[in-house]
Amino acid sequence: MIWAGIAIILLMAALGAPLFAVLLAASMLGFYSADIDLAIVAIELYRIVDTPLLVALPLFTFSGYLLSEANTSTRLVNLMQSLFGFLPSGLAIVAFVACAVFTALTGASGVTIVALGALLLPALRQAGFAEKFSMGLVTTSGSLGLLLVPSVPLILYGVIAQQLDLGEPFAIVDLFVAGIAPMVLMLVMLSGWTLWRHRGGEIPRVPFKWRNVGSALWDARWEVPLPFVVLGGVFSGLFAISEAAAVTALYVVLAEVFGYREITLRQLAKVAKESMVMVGGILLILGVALGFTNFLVDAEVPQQLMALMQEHIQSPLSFLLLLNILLLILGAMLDIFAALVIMVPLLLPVAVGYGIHPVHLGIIFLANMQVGYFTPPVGMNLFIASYRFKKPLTELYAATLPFMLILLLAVLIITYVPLLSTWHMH
Amino acid sequence: MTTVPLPQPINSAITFLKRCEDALLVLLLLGMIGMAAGQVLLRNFFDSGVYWGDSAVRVMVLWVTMFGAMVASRDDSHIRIDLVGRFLQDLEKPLLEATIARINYGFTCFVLGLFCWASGQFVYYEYLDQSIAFAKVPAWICEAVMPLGSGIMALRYALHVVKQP
Repeated sequence: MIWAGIAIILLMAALGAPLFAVLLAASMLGFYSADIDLAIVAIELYRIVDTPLLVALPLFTFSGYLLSEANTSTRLVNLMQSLFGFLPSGLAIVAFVACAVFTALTGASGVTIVALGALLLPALRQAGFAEKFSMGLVTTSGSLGLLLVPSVPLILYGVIAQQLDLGEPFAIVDLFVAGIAPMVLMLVMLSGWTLWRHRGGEIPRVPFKWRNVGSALWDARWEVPLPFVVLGGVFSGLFAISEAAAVTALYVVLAEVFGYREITLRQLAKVAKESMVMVGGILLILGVALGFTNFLVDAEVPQQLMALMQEHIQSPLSFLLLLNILLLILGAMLDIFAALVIMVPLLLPVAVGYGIHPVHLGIIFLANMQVGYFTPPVGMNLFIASYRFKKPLTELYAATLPFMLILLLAVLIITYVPLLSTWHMH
Repeated sequence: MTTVPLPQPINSAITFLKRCEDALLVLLLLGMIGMAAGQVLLRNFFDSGVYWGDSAVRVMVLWVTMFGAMVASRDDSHIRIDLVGRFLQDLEKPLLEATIARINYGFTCFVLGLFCWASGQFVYYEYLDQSIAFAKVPAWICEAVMPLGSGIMALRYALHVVKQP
């Protein structure tokens, strides 16, 4: 009876039933088989109310949606271009940084490729970069920035990891700091490769002009303070993460609606609704997954999984290698939020058993997911870029390959050098 | 897309419900921003604050979750692990695709119905308990959004089952 139920649920998951329904069915079946009143599932979902950090999720998501609706992407690229465009291969480096910042603010939902890619692609071509290179850059950079505050997957990982309570407590700010060095590593490696590839000097240099900096700064006057609001709020301890999210949301509304007057009140309502539908989908999955996780923990599934793993794999290094392969495949196939709520409760206890710190695991997890976004054949960025730029998928596979190899190397370094993510916690 | 015609009063009710959901989502978001940002201002500049404010914001997150999910179930745009769907599209067998979609809808409707009943029970226990969530608001009112939302979502998925693809 129970096994039939499990089989049906797995089948429904594979057939494409909504994930929340699959997880809800799984946890109800679990509690039913353990003779626990099904009302427990509602009690678990209601735990959303006991998690102050979750308030940040809708607020940051809304801010990101609003920023991508306004002309922020143009102003961001102009500002970066005026500051760093004079460097050799300047525009490519500008593109990496701008994409990372924009993805951190909007999540790797494809908005970066659609909004920034359309802007950067012609600009890169005009600056003298080959089409294949430009295309690869735009496609891969669509998920660059997942590790940067206030990226929603990063916050979600923190929420799930803290709920699991594995005896390795960490502050959410530790997780935010942890993402910075790996992010910088990726940017440096990508830029380094870009410089080396164009070392012949075929890309003309653009002279630095203070006047351009001034006008770009003036254009972005309402948005330049934004990173300081977010980062200052989060790292200074002046207010909690959820409050930083609220101040950010308020600030973005004031800047785009009243400062720039780019968003009408009608559009604001539309953006509010769309972003909250997205949030509702994610949080409902998270809420029912919390119940499912508790059932798994009660049934000692993570412990059994760990015993099984440790029977076959002794060294943490081989565990990490396996983890990388598993996460890359998952990252290409699963939605990032689905991967987080399903895999983190299973993987984290095992990883902690191998002596991997939860903060480090979070960075490994998201770095792999980031690469998974453009791993052929089904990475989401590939589809979005193919659709947006009307290029066949095979062309994009070839264009993204060098970028993917570099980022894979970065992921390996991030995985095997824990100090990059945990230097601040000793 | 053709749909099974519904009686006019039901159609009007559905439209009215949609407007309510949309409006509530926007109001809840504005409420969260206003309340949470207000707390920061009150605390840092006036050294005061609304003592139930943080709890209220967290309850609003639950409400946003349920109402957002309700809107997402209008056109079934929920996140899924679609392993088979991609291959099905390539097969170009519309009837098979539609049948699987209906099975999915039926399953989702059943699960939601079960959850509606279970969460309804929870709310009933809490009603008998008369515990307070924040200020003078009883907890059962905050929790009632779970059976309400899942009930409406279950109805929507039931409609998806009978809809012509």
